[in-house]
Amino acid sequence: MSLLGLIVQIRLEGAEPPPTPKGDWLWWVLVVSGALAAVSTLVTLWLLRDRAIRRDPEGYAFGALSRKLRLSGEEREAAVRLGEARGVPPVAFLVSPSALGGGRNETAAEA
Amino acid sequence: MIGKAQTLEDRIRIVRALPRPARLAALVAGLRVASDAERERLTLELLELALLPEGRVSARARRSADGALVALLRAWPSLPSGVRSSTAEACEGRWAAAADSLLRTDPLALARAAAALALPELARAVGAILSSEDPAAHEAHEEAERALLAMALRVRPDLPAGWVDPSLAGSASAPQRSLPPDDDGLDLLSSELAEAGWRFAQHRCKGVLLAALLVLASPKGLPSGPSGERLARLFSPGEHPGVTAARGVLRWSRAPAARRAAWRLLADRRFARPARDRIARAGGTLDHDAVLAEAHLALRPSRVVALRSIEVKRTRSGGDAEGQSRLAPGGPLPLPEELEHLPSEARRGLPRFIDALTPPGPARRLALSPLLADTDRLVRFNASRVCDPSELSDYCFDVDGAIARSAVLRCSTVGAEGWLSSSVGPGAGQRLRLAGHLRRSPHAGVRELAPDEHDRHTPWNHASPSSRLVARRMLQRHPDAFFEQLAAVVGSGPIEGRCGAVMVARTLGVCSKIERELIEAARLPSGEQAEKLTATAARALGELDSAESLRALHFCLSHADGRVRANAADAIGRRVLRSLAGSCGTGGVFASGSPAPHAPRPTPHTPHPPQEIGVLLELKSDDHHRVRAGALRSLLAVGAASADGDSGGPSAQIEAMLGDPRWAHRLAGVWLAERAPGLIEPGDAPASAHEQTRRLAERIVSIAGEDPDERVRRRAMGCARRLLLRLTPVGSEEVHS
Repeated sequence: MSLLGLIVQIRLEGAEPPPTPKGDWLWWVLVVSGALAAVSTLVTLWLLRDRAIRRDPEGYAFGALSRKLRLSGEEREAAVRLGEARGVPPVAFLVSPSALGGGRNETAAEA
Repeated sequence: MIGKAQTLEDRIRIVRALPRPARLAALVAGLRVASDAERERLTLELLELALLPEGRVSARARRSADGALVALLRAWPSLPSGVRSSTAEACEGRWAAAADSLLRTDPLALARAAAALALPELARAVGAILSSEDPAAHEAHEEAERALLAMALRVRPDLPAGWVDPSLAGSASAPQRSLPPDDDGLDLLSSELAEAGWRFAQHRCKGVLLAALLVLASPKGLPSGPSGERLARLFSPGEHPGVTAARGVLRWSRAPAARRAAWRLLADRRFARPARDRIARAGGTLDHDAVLAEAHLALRPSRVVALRSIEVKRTRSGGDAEGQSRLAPGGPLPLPEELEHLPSEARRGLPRFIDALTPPGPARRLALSPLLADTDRLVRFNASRVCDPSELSDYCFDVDGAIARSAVLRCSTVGAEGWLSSSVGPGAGQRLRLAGHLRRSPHAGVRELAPDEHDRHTPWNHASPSSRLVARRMLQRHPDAFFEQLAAVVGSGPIEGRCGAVMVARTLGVCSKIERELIEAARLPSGEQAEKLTATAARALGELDSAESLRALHFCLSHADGRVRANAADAIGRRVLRSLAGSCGTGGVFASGSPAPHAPRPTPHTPHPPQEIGVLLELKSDDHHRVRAGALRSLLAVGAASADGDSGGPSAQIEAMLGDPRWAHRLAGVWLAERAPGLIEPGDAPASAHEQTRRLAERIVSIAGEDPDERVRRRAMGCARRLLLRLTPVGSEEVHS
């Protein structure tokens, strides 16, 4: 029985907790190491994300905005090409609606 | 269009969900391509990111906030003007750190932002840009120079930005003109300006020296502390190698702000010479405005002393010697064509500035004369206060009553040194004519002053105390000139003036000096008011005792005009009285007064008095009431009223006049009755004379109540009251009843 199942059984049925498995140290090692592995994985992922953000915040923002705006591959390509042409990060065209066809015709023409 | 979330707000909502660094990157990137409308919204998002929450802040949050602030600083020239001031205030106190960060990466952007922000706390970073020896940093140096000028303008809110550098005014990156910095900011700015000024040889930016000059000439005075002193030493002679450039900026800078700084620093000995050179040269309307708008500074004597060495040059229009004289262009004073472009505040200060400059008379007149027609009344008033006395008369005719009255008061010779010479000197005629014109001024205040002023410039108005005072002083100090003028005035000119001069001569008792003119006047033919002059002259001839004058009086006795005959009779009576007094050693006096002190005494060639008494006896039956009354009065005075033996006593003579059917004779009879008692009962009068007087008084009382003519009744009423007062003991109630 898992630890969670045991807690649920104690709460719902009012059963007495099972006696400590004296000498069953292996069970505890598994529980603790599993928790540590999960935490370290989360921290590692967070650190990786943070590192990626700090290394390329514009790229991260571009990716995040692309996903949220549900851009197609062609649209992403167009923004990247436009950014290269004008010397600005491509995320700029995702932040400003008018930068690409929303009133700035010259920018759209460049795209 | 990229993306389905089409509005900016939708996208900002997504951006807000991003981690801070990504959010910052997205906003900064978006700001570079956003439209004007979007830029304001994105700037506010950046500002929100840049703000630090109250309380403890994590290092990561602080890093992000500082990054946002640096991004704002970098993008400052392109930020919408509507959010600039709020952004500058919201992040106050943190700009210096952001500037230090930006200095390492983009000094040019920092210099541009500093020029637009104009915050003194950025002065240290801007000074560091000027310290850079990178040859490629030339553009950054220029921007840093502009930034320091913009910061100096914060200290001088009295100066328009265009007066310092035209590029600082009206452009999109125009600096903020908010409140001047506090003492710390001013101290920091002074310190950095002094530092940059002392390193002039390194950057060669004269704008830095101009900025230092502006701070130095601040209305608050020199900045306190060592920074202020160091700034002052920048322009003091012999202190450092760059002093030539610094004093050259003060002397040669074309910026109007430099001329105003020179005007302020003129009072300081250390800067007086270059400041004076700059004041002596003006390049246009703004240059004049810079000084004239603060012309009140000329109240300080040290400035006036320095100004006096400035020469105001003139030139000839057309270049030839016969051309009209005008002010030389480029001088310290504005040309007439420049005046109309000057604001009224500057034009109001111009008279004071001209007065402080003390130019020679012609230049002063050239500079002041255009102000006479200025549309601003204060300009004209100030000009009237400093103009030459010769031009002051023009201001007496100003359309503004206050200006005209002020000019009249300044024209006045009351209390002035040498007033008599100005009243009778060469210009007296002009002043007299001016006063005459001013009596017809449309302004009541001027009309009130003009008669007095007129009388002070002529000794020939006997009715005015001021005029008589002039005559007495003139007679006392310049008797020859006085008699010469008196004879000239009596001998010719308007009748009114001649009559006044004769009256003055009588008042002063100097008729004998103009005897010839009086005789000529007495023999004038009738017409054009000549009777008045003849009558006046006849009266004056009574003061003389010569045979010629007596012949003239006899001529007057046959004159057609009654006034002339009456005055001649009166004059003859006076002569007789004087003659009797001279022969008997005693004599009566006229009820109206004693002979004047300058009156000549009887002379041996005087005709015998009884002949003249005979003349008077003839005249007492004259048809003209004044002649009749005058002759009777003279006869009463000499005690010969009944010498012809057919008329009873004096009371009978008066009774005859009072009972005359002609109202004018009755009127003259009342006049005579009032003067008769003093002649009837001189000194200890007998009881019969007293009784005669009482009867005369009763007769007058009855006339006052019963005479058919209103004029006679009115005069009789007053006469009766005065007669009864003489007859009634003091304190009695009889008269009043």
